[in-house]
Order: sequence, then C-alpha cells, then structure tokens
Amino acid sequence: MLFAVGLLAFRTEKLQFATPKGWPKPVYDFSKNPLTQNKIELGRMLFYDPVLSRDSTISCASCHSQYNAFTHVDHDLSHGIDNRIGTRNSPALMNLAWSKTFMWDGAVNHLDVQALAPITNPLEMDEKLPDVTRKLQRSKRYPALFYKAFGDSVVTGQKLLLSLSQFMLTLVSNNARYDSVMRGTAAFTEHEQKGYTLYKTHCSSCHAEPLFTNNSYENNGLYVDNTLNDKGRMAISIQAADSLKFKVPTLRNLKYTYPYMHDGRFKNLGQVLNHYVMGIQHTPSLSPQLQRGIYLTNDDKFFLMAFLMTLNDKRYVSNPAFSYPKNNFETSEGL
Amino acid sequence: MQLRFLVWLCMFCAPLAATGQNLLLHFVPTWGHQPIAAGTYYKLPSDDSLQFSSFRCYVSHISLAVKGKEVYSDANPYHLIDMAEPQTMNVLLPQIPKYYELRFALGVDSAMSVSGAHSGDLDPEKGMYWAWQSGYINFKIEGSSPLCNTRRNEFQFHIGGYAGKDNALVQVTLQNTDAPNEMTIEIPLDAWMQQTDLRRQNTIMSPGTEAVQLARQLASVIKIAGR
Repeated sequence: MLFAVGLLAFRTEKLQFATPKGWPKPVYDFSKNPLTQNKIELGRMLFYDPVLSRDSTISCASCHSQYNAFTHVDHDLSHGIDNRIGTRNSPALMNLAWSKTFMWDGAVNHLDVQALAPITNPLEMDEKLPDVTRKLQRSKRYPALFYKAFGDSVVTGQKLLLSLSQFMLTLVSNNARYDSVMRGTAAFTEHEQKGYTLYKTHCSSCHAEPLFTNNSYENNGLYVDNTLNDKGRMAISIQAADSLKFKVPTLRNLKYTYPYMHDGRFKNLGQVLNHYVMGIQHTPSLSPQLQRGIYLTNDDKFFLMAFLMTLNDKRYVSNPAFSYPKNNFETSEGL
Repeated sequence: MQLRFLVWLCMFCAPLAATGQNLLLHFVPTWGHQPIAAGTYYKLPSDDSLQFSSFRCYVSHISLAVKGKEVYSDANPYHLIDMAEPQTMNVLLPQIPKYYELRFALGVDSAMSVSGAHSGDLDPEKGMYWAWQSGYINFKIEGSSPLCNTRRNEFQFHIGGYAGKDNALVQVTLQNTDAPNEMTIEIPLDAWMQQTDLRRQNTIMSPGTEAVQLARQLASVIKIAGR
C-alpha cells in the first residue's frame, strides 16, 4: 500500500529535464509545462494513437516512426489519410526542446501548438481538434489517463497538446558515437577525424554542434521542383529575401532518415554531397557560405561520410521508452 | 426593437447591475442597430443581400479609466464572443470604481500567440488558433452574398496576425461619462461592410496588410449602443 502511494507520487512529481553536458540551455520553457511521468506517458499514448485522425487510420507515428529517428522513411513526400500525398518530407523528430520554430518553413512558433498542423491538415490527419477531444472524452481509456496526468478527467485541447509536447520533449538523441567521443569515452578513427575536420570547415556554420543545426533558414541552392514550386520560408514571412529558404535540418541520425531535403529529393547521402559539390543553383537568396560552392575530392567525401555516420544514435532509435506503448493498447489497435 | 428588448431584458435579469458596483457589458454584432441573427438576409446599400453564418471575436484586457488613467482591469483578460452562444456575449466586471472610459482590445496579444497552448477561451480547440501557421485569429466573420464569386458565394474573414507590421490587434476606447452599470457595445457590421467591397475582398485567412486594415476598420466602428 505504501509502495503504491510512493509510486503514484513518483509518477505525478515534477521531473527535471536533463540537459546533456555541454549542450545549450533548452529553448522550451519547462516551467510552463513541467514534465511528469504520467503526462509523458499520456503524450506517448496520443502520439501512437490513430484516434487523432478523422477516420482513426493515421497516428503521429505513421509519419514519424522511431526506427527512422521519427520520420517517414523512403517517402519523399509524406502521405496522410486516404493515401493523400503532402507537399513536404516529414522532418525527423529529435532534440525538439532546442528548436525555436517548427516545420520546414518555421510556420509554427512553439512546440505546444505544432501538433495542430498535422491534425488539421486535410492531406495529413484531416481532423478538427474539438472532434479529437470529444472522441477522447468518450473513449474508455482516456478520461482516466487525463485524470492521472492532470488531476482532472476533462479532456481539453490544451491538455492534449501539452502532453504531446511532453512526450516529444523526451525525444533526446545524444548517444551517438560522436557524443561518446566528445565525452572522452571513445575516439574517432583516422577517417572519422579527417571527416570531422572537413565538417568543421564546410558544414558547421549552419549545421552547428552539438545539435548540428543553427535553427536558421537557408537557401542551400536546390533547383526549384516545378511540380511543387515550394518557396519555403517566404510563404510565412512574406519577405522576398526568404524565397527558397528552409529550416536547416540536423545532421544527427542521417542513416535512419533518408530521403533528404524538404521534398525528399535525394535518396542517399552521396547525392546530397554531390549537390553541394556541383549542384548549387545561384539565386538571390543563396546562402553566402555556398556562393563559391564546396570543393570536396572523392576522398574528402569518403571521410565526411565516415564522420556523418558517427552521428547515428542507435540507442535513440531503439530506446523502449520512446516506442509504441503496446501494453496500453489492445492488440488490434494503435499505430 | 430587438436590441432594446435585449437591453431591457438584461436590465431586468441582472440584479447585480443595480447594486452600483458591477458593470455588465453586452457585445453585440449589429446591422441597422439590431442584433444580427445567423442566416437572416440583410440588404447592402447596393441593394445586394448578404447573410452571416458566424461571428466570433476575442475581446481582451477590458479596463476602465478616468482621465486617461487606468482605474480597473478585468481579472479575466480574454473573452471569446460568439454569436452562436449568446451567453458569451455578456461580460460582467465585478466591483468597479467610478469611470469615464472603457477600453479593450479586439483580439489576442502577441505574448499569447507565441507561448504555446492555453486554456479556457484561448484553448486552440475553440477554433480560433491557426493551425498551418502559429497565432490566434482575432476575429472570424463568415457568411455569404451573391456578390462573392466564391464557392457557395461565401465570404470568410479570418483576421489575425501578431508579428511586426502585420500585428492585427486593435485597441478600442469608448467614452461614457454617465458611467452606467450596464452597456451594450455595438459591433456594427453594416458600417464595417460599407468599407469593404465583397466582390473584391471576400476571403482573407492569413495575416497581412489587408487583415490589419480590416481589423482597424472594425475597431473604428465599434460604439456604445444608443450614443
């Protein structure tokens, strides 16, 4: 009995978000949404539950699967409900506590409201938030889970969004080989070290350590795909200077997150490196760093690739705390 | 006639207002000084018709002032006024001091638009938060008119925007030296529509210059009923 009470207290008590050593302070304000085990677990249930979509066929995990560092692997453009095809490659989810903005064009300014976009997008989940809360309120499972998390079984949009944020905030990837090297518990091979030096020369101004993104928007010289005519950031900022700029993605977990770029046009990293070496299109908003292109020999590409592979975090893609909570679902549902 | 009846009804039903300490506000979208009823056809000066299917707006940070100095501010800063839910159109300010001026903002301030998901009237499930791009929608006015060359002749004004020059939050200041305990705030959509050509402007659902202009125009026509 005492043990049960202790356990209960533990699951509702505030958890401290652990910032990895040497990493910057998170952007997310945890004081406004303090982590608790029950809220994280509610968020995890919701993340994997297709009840969020109009016809209960698509969950967040449909386009953000753990095996792929929470993206939709092998799809250039992600597909949603009724096999409708979206207009962009689903981003890999990790280290979201350090993100200032969300989506390829930064349309969303806060993690708590990010989920509204896929839930309501007709090409993704095509659902309305009041319908979701109504379905959850009527379900056998969720009122009790909301009670455990919030001390109140009434399902609201805010609680749903805050708990989804909590689960997503726990998705921290910092156990790649690179991280072990930085912690001094492993060493780069000669090839990896050469690649690291090349990375620091050619890539690090945008893909800055330790998150491997500087959270800015850049035009990296991709030719415009005229089947999409995606102007990127400009559609949100309405500034011509932002034409063709997209958010700089992280270089972590590239092994799991192919294809690459906002429209998934490159199937492998070789194509990505070749783009930087010889594919850059000169348009007025091209990144200053890319004006003269990047010169890499074949050896350089090989070394760079060796370094990039040290950023893959196997523990991240296999961590059971992030996986489908199968004990909470019936065998016939979920995902 | 209907509005007068509403005022009379509210005076009758609100004994609190008679104590001299509370202020009961009614926010009412009107056409020809009458409360708008959803689905009723109204006539534009051009003899074209229009009807409204929905009117929703945020009224925020209501305060009272004397000679430009704030003497009271609403403890509940955000109210979503929804024509489809009449109880939302009444706002009671308890324990008010003497005042000359009523102030409020039409919309939600940028601080709330950049700080995630909120509760109550600000809960995104109220449908007043943009999903494809962050930020609150300050007001939604929807309906139809044969003037609109759109699907089902619909017009949809979703007016918002919080950043920089696209900030569509507008302030309203109304003078009332009588300092009554009850007031009807008219939101005259007829006066607002007079400044809009529905043939040209009928679908605005993103922040920008037009949204800011429409918000300013709406704020400029808001007045105390009967004055």
